[in-house]
Amino acid sequence: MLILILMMVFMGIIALEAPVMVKNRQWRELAAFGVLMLGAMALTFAQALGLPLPNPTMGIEMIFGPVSDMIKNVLS
Amino acid sequence: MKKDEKVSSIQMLFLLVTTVTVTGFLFVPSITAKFASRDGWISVAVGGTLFGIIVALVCTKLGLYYPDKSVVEYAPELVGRFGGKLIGLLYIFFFMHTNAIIVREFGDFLVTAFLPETPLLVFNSIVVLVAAYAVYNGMEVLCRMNQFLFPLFIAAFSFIVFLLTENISFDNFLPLMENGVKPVIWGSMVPGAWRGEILLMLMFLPFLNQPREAGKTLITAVFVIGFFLTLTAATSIAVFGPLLTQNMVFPVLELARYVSLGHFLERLEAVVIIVWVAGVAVKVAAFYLAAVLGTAQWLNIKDYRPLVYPVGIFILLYSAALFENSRELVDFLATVFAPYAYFFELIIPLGLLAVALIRKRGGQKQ
Repeated sequence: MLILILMMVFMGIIALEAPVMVKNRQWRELAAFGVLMLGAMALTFAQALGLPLPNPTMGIEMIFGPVSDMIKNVLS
Repeated sequence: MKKDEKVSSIQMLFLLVTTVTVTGFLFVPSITAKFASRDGWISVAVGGTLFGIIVALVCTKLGLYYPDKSVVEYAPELVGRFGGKLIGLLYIFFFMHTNAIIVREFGDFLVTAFLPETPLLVFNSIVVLVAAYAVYNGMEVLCRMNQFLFPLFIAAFSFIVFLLTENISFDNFLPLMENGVKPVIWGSMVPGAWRGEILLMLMFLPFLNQPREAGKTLITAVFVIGFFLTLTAATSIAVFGPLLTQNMVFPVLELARYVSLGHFLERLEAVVIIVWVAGVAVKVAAFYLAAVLGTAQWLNIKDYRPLVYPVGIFILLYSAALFENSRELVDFLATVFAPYAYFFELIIPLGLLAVALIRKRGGQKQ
């Protein structure tokens, strides 16, 4: 059900955007739109099906967590 | 990108002030009170402002080397194709990620404070949809929308502080700097990161009709933001005291609830919520525009509008997926967010500025 609604939303967005770009011969725009849209769709379906998403928070915490701890040690 | 879109300095000033203040005034008082206790307002007033001024100076100095280009466009010219594109990609990531966090803050706030039964995704999708519409119409529309909202925002906010004057007790500020200066500096980390969000100027400088005034605009913005955030932090501490403030999730909301004038003027949190929701829509739209614009420039696309919806889906998706619950969000904001934001707000622009200074020998183009 959820997947079906999502499919309809995505179809709607594509139907809204793609014809204009084809008409104006904006192939570069169309390619970028296509790639981003595919990525967005893949991630959304993954989330809807409960698959794990690549989450940047972990990476950011790994890189900047030690910096944060260091500042904490200096200042307290 | 439509190069003919121009906004005036005052519109840019309003946009930046709304953008930073709107989430800042909700989260900053309690976070600073946690670090600096009753001196939280000093952290906001002095530390945050100093950092903001440094960011403002660096951003304008750097931006004025290329007044008609954004950071994603001129980074490849400064540090070479590969490095420049990498920096551009990092900035796009930063704008999208921060925007997802902002959308999450918005949804979390409404769920915790007002409508606990409604799913988070409802609020998130509504605000992203509104922002997408604003972005689709471009920078000028966004600025004009904000020009209408900004006075309402300030008026509602001042009204509440004004009504609370009888509850303010200045004894709550004493003793000043009880534990020395260190907690105050530590407390200024988070407000500093918030003030640094004026780095949006790196993306929006080409929209200014008077690029020369960018520096003045940014510094004024820092001071105006500083004034309002300090006022909120100080009022929360003066009314509730440091202990109560640091244990509240949203002190400003409690402040608005606290107002009671002769049992007649009550429940003013509705006013807070109205202006706040409108303000967040502007903030989300500003970051959204920066992300979309950056993506389009990164891919050398002239018209950014086809990218609005795909980028919006990413933002919406990650607003739900980034954090399990609001505790994680507040923890992230209070600890890791500050160094993470500093990296993008100060370190990268400073590096680029150093390269620009060496390569251009200080001579700025017209």
